[in-house]
Amino acid sequence: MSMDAPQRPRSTLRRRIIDGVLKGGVVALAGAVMYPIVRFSRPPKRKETMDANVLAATVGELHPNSGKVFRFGSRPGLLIMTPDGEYRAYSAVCPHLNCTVQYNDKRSQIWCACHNGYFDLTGKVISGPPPKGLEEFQVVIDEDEILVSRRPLDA
Amino acid sequence: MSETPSRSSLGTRLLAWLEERVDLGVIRHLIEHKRVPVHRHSVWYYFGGMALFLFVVQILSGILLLGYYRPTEDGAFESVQFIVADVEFGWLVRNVHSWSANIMVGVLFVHMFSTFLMKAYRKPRELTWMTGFSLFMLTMAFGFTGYLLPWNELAFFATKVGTEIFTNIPVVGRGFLLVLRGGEEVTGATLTRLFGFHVAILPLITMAILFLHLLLVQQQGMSRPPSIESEGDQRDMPFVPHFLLRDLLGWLVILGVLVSMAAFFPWELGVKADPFGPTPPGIAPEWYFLFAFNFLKIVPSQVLFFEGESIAVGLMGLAGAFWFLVPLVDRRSSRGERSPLFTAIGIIAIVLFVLLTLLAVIFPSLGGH
Amino acid sequence: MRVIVLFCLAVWTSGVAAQDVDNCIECHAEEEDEIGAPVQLMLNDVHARQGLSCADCHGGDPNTDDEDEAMWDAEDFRGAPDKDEIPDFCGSCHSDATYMRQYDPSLRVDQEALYHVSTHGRLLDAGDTQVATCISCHDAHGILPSSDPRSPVYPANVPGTCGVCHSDAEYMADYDIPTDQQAKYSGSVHGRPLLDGHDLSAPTCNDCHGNHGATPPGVKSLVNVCGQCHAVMADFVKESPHEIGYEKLGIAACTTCHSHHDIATPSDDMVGNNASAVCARCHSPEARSMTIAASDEKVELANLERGWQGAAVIRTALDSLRLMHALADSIAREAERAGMSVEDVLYDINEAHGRLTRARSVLHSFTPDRVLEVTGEGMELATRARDAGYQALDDLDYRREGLALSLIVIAVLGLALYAKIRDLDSERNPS
Repeated sequence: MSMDAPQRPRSTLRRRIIDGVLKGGVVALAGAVMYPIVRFSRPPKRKETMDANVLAATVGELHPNSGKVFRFGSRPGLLIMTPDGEYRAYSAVCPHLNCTVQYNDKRSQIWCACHNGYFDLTGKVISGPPPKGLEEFQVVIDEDEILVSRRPLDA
Repeated sequence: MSETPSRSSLGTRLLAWLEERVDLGVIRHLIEHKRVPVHRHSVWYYFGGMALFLFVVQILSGILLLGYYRPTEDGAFESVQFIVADVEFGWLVRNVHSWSANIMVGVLFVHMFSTFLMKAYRKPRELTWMTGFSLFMLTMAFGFTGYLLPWNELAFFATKVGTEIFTNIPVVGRGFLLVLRGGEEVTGATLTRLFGFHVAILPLITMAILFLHLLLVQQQGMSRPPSIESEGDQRDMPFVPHFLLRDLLGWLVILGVLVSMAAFFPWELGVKADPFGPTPPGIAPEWYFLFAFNFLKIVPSQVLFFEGESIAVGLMGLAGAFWFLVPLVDRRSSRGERSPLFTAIGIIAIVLFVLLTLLAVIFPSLGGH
Repeated sequence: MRVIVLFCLAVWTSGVAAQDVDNCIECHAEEEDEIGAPVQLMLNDVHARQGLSCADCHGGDPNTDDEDEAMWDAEDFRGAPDKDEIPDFCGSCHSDATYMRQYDPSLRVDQEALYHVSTHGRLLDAGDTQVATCISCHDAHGILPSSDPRSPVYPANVPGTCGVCHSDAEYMADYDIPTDQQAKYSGSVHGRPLLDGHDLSAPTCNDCHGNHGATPPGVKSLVNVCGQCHAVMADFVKESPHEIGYEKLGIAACTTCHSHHDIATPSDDMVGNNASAVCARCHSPEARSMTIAASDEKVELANLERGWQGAAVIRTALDSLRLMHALADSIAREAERAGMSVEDVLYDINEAHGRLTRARSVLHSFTPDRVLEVTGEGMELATRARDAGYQALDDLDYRREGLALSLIVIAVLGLALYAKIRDLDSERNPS
């Protein structure tokens, strides 16, 4: 017993420090674990990209014989309204050298300004250097929203 | 008794309230009396608990991922991409889940081989071994089913090749294949099925068998290897707090490793699977299946008048059955005697496993058929 | 061998000549050399397939086996025509629309007329029998349509067919034209896709020089010839200040910078005010006096000087955009590899690259302001993308910082735990 007496005050302080650090550490660890979990569980701001559907335009934005370039993922897309009033959507990436195509209302055709490629309103190449036509997308009209998505594989 | 810190009295009071209603005797006994042997091989005792910790990490991170993951052909890849790129700390959760899975399998290999070499399977712990081996197979199944879920190119083809193996099992093989794949080929239906296995069926079965395994371990206590027993070394330490704190320290270190891996070595997502696309080069299953995959590769395609692959699958089946039943086969250990034959078998198994896993590294010229 | 040939021909003629024996074939098959060779060639011939026989072109009577009756004494016997008679010989059918309609209504019937205004035709009419006639390119017997890959006039075979004469320096010694066109063309940006890549959309000799009316395009018409395909560039060039310059110098538009047979893939290096740029050939300080002299003093020095500055402006604009695009792209890829979301950024990067492509077309207007308009848009996009990419990488650093923090917590806790374990152990074993 007399051997313990001089050690006691030091060991009690040491024990108190260690216990304190342990308790504080556990709390800190719990916080460090809960913080990302809580942030993770909150839905993130950007939602559209998860959806395969992209809002290209609203009804009324386009008139017959006009077109609009919109963002489809990381590439541009082209939404057109044919002179007959039908909505069609295509990839706006020109298959020649990847310039962005646009709608030409004088000829009612899709035109690539870089090297004068022309596509008809079904996306087929009709003139110029593009080696193939424009990829067609699916258009769905949901109330007043015009949604564009990739065509299903079996379409 | 003048000093009664308020914190512990609340805990003590709650405990007392509970014990008036529920018999916590088992837990009390565990806390007060369980002891763990201490000897030169006792470091291996930590690996079981480590696997359990990692399993809990898997469940937790898996549940979080479930909040965003979509198990469909046109949603799976995109949802994982979304998690990793857009969800806050999504990269952390996904990478922790992937790394923890791989580390858990590694830990389980160590746990399994170490208990084998220490003959922990001998009487009275035969059931502990068998439930343990079952848990090991279940973990491999978890890995196999989980691998496909991001629906990327490598996983798609690895699953295709992996499920193809079933065709070599006579009679029931083809049926298994159809059930596993949800059809003739690997499709979105396969994805949904394997997802169901991964998040519902396998967890249920695993929990049940895990409960048995842990129950057995608690009831029977930790086994001492025959070499230690023959020396008469009876040293031990209390489970609570000494062993448990060491366990916790190990788990803490692994947690640090996990988050570091997640930040510095994130898992690539690759490209989305295209079922109609060509098979990319270098298709291989996850590392823990390589030993089986390579074994199938090196068995020649024709052995006598049997198809090589059927022979290989048969051999693997036999080896698995042997491994499962080893407590019953190793008579010397069950009598409490030294069993050098089985020690040798264990070492050979480890060496074969390592060699087969690293086959492509050791012999790059060996192709498949 | 002859037996087999005879047998095949017998089978063939039996289906064609309504059980009548074609004595031309019967007799000529037995002959050697040039008299007998056409028989075998006619096995695979577009005329033969249409049911035409030897007599339909050469005249004579195929129904008799008497040589004199069949050939020399026959009224309409024409025999093998002389070189200068060949266009007329073939044209007797091929220029007759009513006749040709029976066989292939879509075939043109102006080949002979075109030939007579071609360089080959005019020389032939002036008495030069060395030039090419119908059979030089199309063969006389064993003619195959141009869509057949074995035909000498299949697009990929045309350079070789023209080259039979035009690449033969000895044969062409009397004419004052080079003989390296085929060699140059084979390595060119037009030749390689056609000859090596089997891309039939690439132009071959006749696409620029004309088919039957073959003549090298004149200096003034060159821009229209190239403009058949390269319409956008042709339009820009015609609106550009170079148009007047070409006129004053009497040179052709496109080929001055791009050459004609050995056209190489263009690069930004062609533009600029350094010695290796094509602009230097006329605009460089060293070349100016020569340029002015060559135009009989019509070209003005001030224009040459302004063009030299303009070339520098255009080149700088292209380089800046190209570099900024490359930088933004590499940053975005790095961020993507690390798992950051970079879709927005990639969109802008792709759009910026589109502007670069367009700028390379617009530069053919040789008006720096127009080029700068396009590259300006591109720079804006690329710069924005670059900044966003840096932002994404910063977020990555934030992750690492968060990790460091949590590792510190773990380390501290771990050390405390370790200390606790040590203490508990020493309590248990005070020794």
